[in-house]
Amino acid sequence: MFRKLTLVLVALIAVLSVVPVFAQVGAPVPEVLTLPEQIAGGRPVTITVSEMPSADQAEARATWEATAQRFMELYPNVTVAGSELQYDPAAFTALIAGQQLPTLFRAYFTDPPTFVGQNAVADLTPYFEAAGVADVFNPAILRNMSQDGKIYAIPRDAYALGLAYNIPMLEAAGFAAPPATWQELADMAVALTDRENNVAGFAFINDGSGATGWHFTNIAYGFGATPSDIIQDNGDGTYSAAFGAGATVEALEFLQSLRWDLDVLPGATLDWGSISEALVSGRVAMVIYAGDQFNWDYTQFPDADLTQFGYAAAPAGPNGRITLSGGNLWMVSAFASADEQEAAAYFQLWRQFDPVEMQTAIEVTTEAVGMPTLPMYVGDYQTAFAAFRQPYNKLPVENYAPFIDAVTAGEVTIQTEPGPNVQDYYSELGVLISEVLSVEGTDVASRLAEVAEEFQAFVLES
Amino acid sequence: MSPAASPRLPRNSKPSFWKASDNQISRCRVESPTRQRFGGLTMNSPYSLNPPVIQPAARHRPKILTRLRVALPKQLAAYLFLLPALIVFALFAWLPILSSIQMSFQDVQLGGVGTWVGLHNFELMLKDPAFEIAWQNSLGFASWSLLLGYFVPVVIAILVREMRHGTGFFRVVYFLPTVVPAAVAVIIWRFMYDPDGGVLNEFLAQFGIARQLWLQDVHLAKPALVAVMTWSGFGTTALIYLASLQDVSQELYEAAELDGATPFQRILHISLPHLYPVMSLMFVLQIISVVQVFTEPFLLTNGGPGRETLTPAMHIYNRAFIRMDMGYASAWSVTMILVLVVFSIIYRIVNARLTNEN
Repeated sequence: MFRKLTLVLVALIAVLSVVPVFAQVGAPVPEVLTLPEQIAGGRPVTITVSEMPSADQAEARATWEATAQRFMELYPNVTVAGSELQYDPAAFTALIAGQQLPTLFRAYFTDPPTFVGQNAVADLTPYFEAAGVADVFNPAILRNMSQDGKIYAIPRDAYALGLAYNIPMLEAAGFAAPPATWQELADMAVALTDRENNVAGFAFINDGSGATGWHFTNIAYGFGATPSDIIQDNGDGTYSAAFGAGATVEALEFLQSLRWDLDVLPGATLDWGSISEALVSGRVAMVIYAGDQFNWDYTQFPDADLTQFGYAAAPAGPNGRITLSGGNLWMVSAFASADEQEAAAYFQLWRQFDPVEMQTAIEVTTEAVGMPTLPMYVGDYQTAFAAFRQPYNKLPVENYAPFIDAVTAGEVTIQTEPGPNVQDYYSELGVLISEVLSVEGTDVASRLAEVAEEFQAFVLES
Repeated sequence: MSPAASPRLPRNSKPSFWKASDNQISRCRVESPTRQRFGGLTMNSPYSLNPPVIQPAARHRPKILTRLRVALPKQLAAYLFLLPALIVFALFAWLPILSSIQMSFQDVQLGGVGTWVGLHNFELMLKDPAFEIAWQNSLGFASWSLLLGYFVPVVIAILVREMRHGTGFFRVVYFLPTVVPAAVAVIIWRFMYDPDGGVLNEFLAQFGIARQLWLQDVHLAKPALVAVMTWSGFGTTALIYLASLQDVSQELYEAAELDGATPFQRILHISLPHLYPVMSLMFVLQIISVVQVFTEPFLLTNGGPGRETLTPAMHIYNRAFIRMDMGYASAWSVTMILVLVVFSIIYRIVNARLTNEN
């Protein structure tokens, strides 16, 4: 309670002190949600909700329970039972088989097709429409979780891959803006690399894990690949590994030349965490970065001066600027009764859209408000939503204008991950990229073709 | 008196530094303590891993059932004491081994029923390009670890044994790395190996040696990982060697010193021969643990660069827990067990031959 009060106080002071600067300060919490009088016709119903914080996170747990309590007071016939179960694709495969999914659970943007294909999740379209939020969501995002005009998930947050950069370093080298094309990125990286002081001009996750393949895929998209150029849906339930040729080869050859011809990459292997460390400690000038990683910087490196870092959309290729996107969403188990499904859907919509909940959540949140993620909503609601959050910003959002502006101007194409078996594809590519970066003169085209063949035989056809 | 003239010496091949009185010479004989312990029993070598056990005279053996009936009540208490350990072993060691053998012949559905696929998993394994790579890497790791790591604990143990002062201090110091948790050790080694401003490269730069990509270079990655394994493992092994050296009677060393043996001769003729059986056992254990190596490549290189440090254990992990292909991963596990069993058998045969020849 004390903490909450302090936070409110801090927020209040923050709000008051910036009043002259921002016109929209103190913007009201936007309202859009229409809730039903009764859920499940007043019949008693119990839902299980995953991702309840564990008991050792006392504060977060208390917040979570208070939220559940408020919903149960709103609808006395509904009981919300928390489950500490956290989403894990492998474990949930087993839960589907056992028809033991929690009533409401979190998953990733890539998952709806799998769950829908196994008839494991409920159609939420009626609740979207009744609650009046169907047109509020960003259609580009909603498309990822819809099939045949039906919506199967409630998106919660969406990240996109872009380019984070060290503003003072770019300025010192005489660059006023982040690179607009991949060729420009290479040229700038050469100028920014400073081996004497252990500064690499450009970096991406290069530890040879799946994350390496994930970053690479955004670069491949930048070189003109589309998801079906990577894994092709043959339309008859089979898939072909198509990444052995075309833009993926060009993209990998580009990385090869960055490493062996231009020598602008870091020598160290960087994973998801250490690439942030390299960025904030000034060891790399430009990195492929997910917008929500600024939250990691904010929480892990409290001493870092985050005002030094900017964020832009990925450089443009033949198909313009493409961003690989992903995120979190909530789905409702199809194995639950109709009453339970209704209660679960409304519980999620309520805690995401209810003004009181939004206010409470933003006051207690420990995350870095202001991350350059994709706008979840559109139109007036998005404007009001952004205005409402602005006073709570903890990050230098003006540095992220190159990204936000490009996205809002529609210059950026939001591209989903290739599928299915995207994680396996990422892992295989990660290994190959690590090889290309460590063995000089690798024949990229033939190795990619070999890996694609292996992937076809061992993953897609096994 | 020259040793050859001594009537108590069976052979005249004694090293020349034994030239004290008869009495001392007989105490100096390395094999004598063992020989005395076994009361003059014939044995091939005092350092055999399988010292012959004195067999009781063969007597009439009662039928099994009768024996059981007599023995069981007598030993019931003993079996009860064994029971908890047996249950734990059965549940957490033998059962998983058996089920992984079963799974290696199945297409495993988590949460569902596995379907029998015969040798399919093994056929796939042989077609997997990673098969050759991972096992070659294992061989590479084993060679590097014998080259870089095998003698380190022997040398350390002998050095500590030879010290006059501060033995306890050095014992602790050399054991310290073993106490460091693997996750912490890995972070330390990341700093050491960091190519951009890491400790090792900064140090080498003092001598004008160029920046090395320790973990990112295909030629350096394996020895670099072996150095980490050696660092974190030599403490325990050195302690085992040291414990073995404590068994050597102090009088032997004193006698040798009185005979004018140099420290090097003492080590060569007393310490080392005494360590052979333990060293031979450690050789097997080291090979077995190196073939199973997982932590270091998993945490430091992720099997990279490329697949340079991909080990069978890592591949098993990747296939089982990343790709969720339990059946296929089990086929690899079973292969790994087979390889180690075959290695152990060959080793035992060779070792038995060698000890017999002595």
